[in-house]
Amino acid sequence: MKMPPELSTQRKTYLSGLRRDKRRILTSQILLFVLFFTLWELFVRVGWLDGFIFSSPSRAAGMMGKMIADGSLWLHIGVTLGETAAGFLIGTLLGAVIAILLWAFPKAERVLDPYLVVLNSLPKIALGPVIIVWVGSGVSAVITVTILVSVVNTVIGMASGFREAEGERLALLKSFGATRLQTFLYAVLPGSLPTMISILKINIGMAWVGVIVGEFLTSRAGLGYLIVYGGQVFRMDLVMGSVLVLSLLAALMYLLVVFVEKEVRRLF
Amino acid sequence: MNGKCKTGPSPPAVDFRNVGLRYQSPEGETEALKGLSFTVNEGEFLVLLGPSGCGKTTVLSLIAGLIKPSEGEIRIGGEILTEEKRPHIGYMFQPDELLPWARVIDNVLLGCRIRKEDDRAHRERAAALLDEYGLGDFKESFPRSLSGGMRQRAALIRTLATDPSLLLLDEPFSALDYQTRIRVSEDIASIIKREGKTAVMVTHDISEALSLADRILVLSSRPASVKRELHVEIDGRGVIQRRASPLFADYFNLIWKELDDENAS
Repeated sequence: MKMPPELSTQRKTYLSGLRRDKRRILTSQILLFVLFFTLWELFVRVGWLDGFIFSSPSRAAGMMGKMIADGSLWLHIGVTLGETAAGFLIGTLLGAVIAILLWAFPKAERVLDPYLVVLNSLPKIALGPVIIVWVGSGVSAVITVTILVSVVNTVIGMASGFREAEGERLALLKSFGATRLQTFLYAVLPGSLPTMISILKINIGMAWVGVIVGEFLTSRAGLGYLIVYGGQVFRMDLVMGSVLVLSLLAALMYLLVVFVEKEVRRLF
Repeated sequence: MNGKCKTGPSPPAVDFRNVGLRYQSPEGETEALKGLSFTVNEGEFLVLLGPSGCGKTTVLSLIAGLIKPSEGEIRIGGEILTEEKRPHIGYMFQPDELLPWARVIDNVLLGCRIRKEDDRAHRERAAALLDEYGLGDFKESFPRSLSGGMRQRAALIRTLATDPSLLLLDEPFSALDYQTRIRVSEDIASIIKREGKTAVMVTHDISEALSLADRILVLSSRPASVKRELHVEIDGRGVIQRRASPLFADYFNLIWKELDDENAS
């Protein structure tokens, strides 16, 4: 922001107040982070917490360090990221295609509406055993669970986004004699972009849930596998370390989506 | 009538003959229009004036061929309106409906693109219209950077870009504040006159009707029919000059009484 050289005293006070607030909030956030991990470490060291059960930041980090050194951590991260990306993309695209079909055939949407509502509220994880029987165990089952977790809410969200984007613009497009396809391409699709972005945001979170639960159910690699395996053999350093890595990955992916969202919203 | 009205052998631009319309809904049947007959002459600015909810917008939808009449016959340029043969009209709505993600020039060309007329001639025409009506510097801008009046002008140019024979205006100024509204209606009216378009506008605003119309049809409340026809013969072309004319008040009172009777009955 360019500023004229002369600022009134009130303006200066206001601006410095703004900066001070921002600084204080950031400092508090960092402090909270440091405090949490320091206390955790400290409590384990002095023996108030049992390190065998709660692990500790240094032990979890040491475990992850070892796994980075022997390269195994990258394999697990790679598997989980791959499954998440595949499940997220397929689930979202499949949901989008179904939503487009429902928009093209409004009668079908009305027929299917109650089923969509029930499917949406059904915890898809309940289908886990069925999926393992149908598609076999391993990566394909994990991806299928992930797709299931995100596809129904994508269909419902996008279908309502399409309807909203169509809204009053329909009369304008009709007055030019637009076909259904033209209406979709010129108004509905670009108009529902903000809805799509918020669905993507939700689906990223959904995909992580799907992948980790899928890995809990059936897997030989991945962060979910490490967590479940570590829990079974009581190696809490492995569990806590994997959870921390997972949090970091989820945060990074979220930041990416927020960035994309910001770029898209600038157009609206 | 300002000598705007060409009389001659050519058929009227719009001809309603005993048109009736009933809307069906699960709650029941609504009779929106009953025995509505009127004509719009080539090059004329006709205003349909009536109370809110009297079916004014329905009349425009009928002309545009968006809905079918339940009774009667509608002719556009002498030809009976059928579902297959929709007339080439330009429809301007109360919200400008500019697409926020498209640049002004792309918004203006929307109709041409849908009609598959996105050729050089149409693009040049659209650009010329933008230049001529003060939006030349905003071709590559997004609609959010335009003022309310500029948006409304862009919406009109979008309508004109396809070169329609007939313009339909559905309370196009009611979303604007009072001053902008007068200025924009002055703008829009002069553009329509200069482009020599036939226009049908609906409004419930008496002053707006009087400042724009060659002829006003006062409609009754639902089911709408023509209650009174009024040739507006006020000297002066512009909206501001008309509003300043002493005759303006006389006309206003005349119509006010007409509508007041309507409300009382």
